[in-house]
Amino acid sequence: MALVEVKNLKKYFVNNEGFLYKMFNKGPINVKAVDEISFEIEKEDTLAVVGESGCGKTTVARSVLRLIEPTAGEILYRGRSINNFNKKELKDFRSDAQMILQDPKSSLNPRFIVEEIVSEPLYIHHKIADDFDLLERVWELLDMVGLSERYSELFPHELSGGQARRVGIARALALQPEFIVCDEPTSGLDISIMSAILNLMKKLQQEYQLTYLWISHNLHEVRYISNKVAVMYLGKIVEISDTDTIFNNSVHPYTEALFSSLRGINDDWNYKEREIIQGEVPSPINPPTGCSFHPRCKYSFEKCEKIEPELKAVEAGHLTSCHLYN
Amino acid sequence: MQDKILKIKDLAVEYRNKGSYLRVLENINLELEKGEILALVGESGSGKSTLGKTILRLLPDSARIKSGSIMFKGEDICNLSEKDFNDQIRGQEIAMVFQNPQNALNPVFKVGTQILDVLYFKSKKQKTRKQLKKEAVEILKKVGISDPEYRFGEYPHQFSGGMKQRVMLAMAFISNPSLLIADEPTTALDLTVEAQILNLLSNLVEEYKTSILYISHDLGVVAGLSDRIAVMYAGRIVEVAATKELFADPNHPYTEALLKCLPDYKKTEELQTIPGQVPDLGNYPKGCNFHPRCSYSFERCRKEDPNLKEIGSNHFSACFLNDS
Amino acid sequence: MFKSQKFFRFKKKIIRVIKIMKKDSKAYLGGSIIMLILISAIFAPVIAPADPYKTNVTKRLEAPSLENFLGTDSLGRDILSRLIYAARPAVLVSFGGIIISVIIGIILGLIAAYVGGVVESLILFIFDVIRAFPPIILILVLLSIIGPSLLSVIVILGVTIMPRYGRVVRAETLSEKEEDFVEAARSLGADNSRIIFKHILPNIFASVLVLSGMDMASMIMWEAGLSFLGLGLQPPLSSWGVMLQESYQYIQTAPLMIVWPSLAIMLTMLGFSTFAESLRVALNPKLNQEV
Repeated sequence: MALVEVKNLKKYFVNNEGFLYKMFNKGPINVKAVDEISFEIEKEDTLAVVGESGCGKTTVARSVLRLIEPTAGEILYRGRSINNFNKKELKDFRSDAQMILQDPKSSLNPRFIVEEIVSEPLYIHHKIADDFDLLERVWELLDMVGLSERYSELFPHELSGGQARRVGIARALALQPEFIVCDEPTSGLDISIMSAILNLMKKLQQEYQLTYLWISHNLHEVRYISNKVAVMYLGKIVEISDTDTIFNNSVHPYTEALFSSLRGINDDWNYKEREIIQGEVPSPINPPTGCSFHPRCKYSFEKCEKIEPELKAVEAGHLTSCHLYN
Repeated sequence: MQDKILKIKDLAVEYRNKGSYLRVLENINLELEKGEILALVGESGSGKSTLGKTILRLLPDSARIKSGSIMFKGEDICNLSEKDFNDQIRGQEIAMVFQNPQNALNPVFKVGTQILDVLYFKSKKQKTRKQLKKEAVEILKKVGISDPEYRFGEYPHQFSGGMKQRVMLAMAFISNPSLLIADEPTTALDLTVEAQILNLLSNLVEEYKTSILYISHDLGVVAGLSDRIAVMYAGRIVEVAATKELFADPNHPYTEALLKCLPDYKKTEELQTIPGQVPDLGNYPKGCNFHPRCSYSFERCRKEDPNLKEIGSNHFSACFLNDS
Repeated sequence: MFKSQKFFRFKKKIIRVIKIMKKDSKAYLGGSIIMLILISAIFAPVIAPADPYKTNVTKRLEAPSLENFLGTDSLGRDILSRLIYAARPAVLVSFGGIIISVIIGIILGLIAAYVGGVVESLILFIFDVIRAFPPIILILVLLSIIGPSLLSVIVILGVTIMPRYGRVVRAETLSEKEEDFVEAARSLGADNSRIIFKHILPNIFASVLVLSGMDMASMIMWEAGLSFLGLGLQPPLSSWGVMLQESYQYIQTAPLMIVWPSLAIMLTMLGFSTFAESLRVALNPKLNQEV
């Protein structure tokens, strides 16, 4: 049984314009942020989700933790549907499933000192008997992420980006979770800090048998940290498989386009010579008919404009939604 | 000398902070050839953005050039009066594009109007705006904006990030500048859009024969774009070399360590890290700025500041290891 | 209790605020004035040289002397003592009025932001109704209904100023709700009450504090004005406003008399606003980074 199962997840945001707008249009606008997503994450896997702005990866991350209520679909954690959890069950779930947000500093309350930030989950879940061993626990957690004791007294604005990131990780670990959703955890960090954070996350995963859902736009990082990759475009998964396959044997035209600009520093090409995909990601308010990628796809044919392709397997463990393979 | 568009010599820049001065850029020596793309890379606190802004005098009032010269086409532009600099250099001979296109365009004016403004001044107020409209639409088309006639009348918020950046590039190239300073222009953009913009930039460079100083922290981007790379650390340039050579054969310990930190999609071995932290702006250690974090440091590194020395064909490095 | 971690955190934050304010001359200025006013109010019986109510018809309208530092008023009472005692209603009106405004404002603002819908519209409607009236008219009408007294002045001023706090609290709550650290707290399992009390309120408190500094100053001015019109405190109780009214009639014969209460009012307003300004800067963690 997979640790996390997402089934037919949909999240539509309704854009309620004023009544004048409604009078002249057919009704409120639906932003289809996530449109029928299904996937599974096994224990100790790292599933990376890649895609560009508007693809819905952030919404997926929040929906999986039920920080956003899904419009439709089911999310199962350890086989139980979290959609129907009551307050207590949801709170228990929260101690098992944590999140690391994108901006390292803004996810920390600017008026809390680090010790307060890291111990907050312990307070919320009543895991503190008395104040005295609280500090010990906090120092343990800080030590796990490579921060010395003196950091516990600092305010977020006194920390560098990398240090703030580590505090966020320490906080996420406080309740000994099983599953961590990481939303672009290294974005905005310098190269040398990024490598330290990546190594830390890998080490923690091994030591504590953690499972990650890892959102990133840095494909090199994805290669390093994940063993499965899902590629999203306009609210849908267009291809999903293990990392090796996605990097070496991807099939979907969008994946091909996305990875075509993947450049290692010793690769022998430059931006002038590369075949670059044209156009921009369309707005999720008005997605194209049929396959949402067809206007930019160099392989598209008649069927692509009319019928939406389904996510189907091209081989074991490798699925894609493209008419070329259906 | 004719071929060198830009020659910066011994430049030092300071910021005034509560009575004393913080040295943020030190000992900067850099040359740029005509038609060359030189990348300026470094992490935060390296001073790369500061250097770019210094050239165009875009620093806040609390900053000043302590010493050194910036020779542009053979003339020291530090000596120009503010008025002359503004009329002749800024936006004319040297143009700049910035990281966040959202903030660069005025949200209350139509995009077309803003382009017309630039054209109007370039024509030295000789042509009317009506006459220039056709040129403006052509420019939009050239940078790859579809439906340029229609887009001309739209407002910035109706443009995507990629489109806005194209407009910024268009406006920068209108005056046919000899030098373009690009400060992380694609950092805020999606991957595929970034590729498009860099592709566009390469084409524009080829057409206008502009030299580019490309500031970035993304080594992958720079590898596919630049001819040469200058690596900065803590306010100094530590290494300069041709792109391929820098990546294949780095000399300076910082460059070497930095490259080992980069995840690469072809490699799965463990990433290295650089112990310690980048020093705060202006608060640099005595001796070589990198020595506290350098695994090769020795006695001399703690006392003296190394200068850039030529260690190979057009390959410079500032490290005492090269002296022995 | 004092060894607990909670106390340590609180201590650290207070120390930080104090350290920042120590460097700010505004804090000293404002702070000392406020201290002066508070001490006058609390220790009036000890500090005042004479009985403020004792009349002495033989010594009317005397100029400042050794016996009466600021002179005597139209009924022979010592002005200095009256001035000192009048600090009490000043403090009661400003602190009392503000506390009413802030507490009601915070409660209504939070409810409006969190419950939304019809309730929010209703609350905003109440705010708008109150604000639609020119304050002077609203206050006079309410006073005439309830009857003038110190308590009615405090309550009415409190209710009149309240919408400002309500609106600010609602607006800031709505925006703080969307902050990343609030989302992080939710993802940790925090419930709404924890989020409101631990995350949102402390962060909007600074804005509230700044507004209250300025409003406290203006409440003193209102009280003075109302008492001047005879609608505030009634004699023999006196406040600076009452003293103003009494001095007004004798402005030609004893011009100095009106200066003292005016100075007192001005000084107090200055004290509150400068201190609030200094506090605002000190409370904002982001404004105080060393370069």
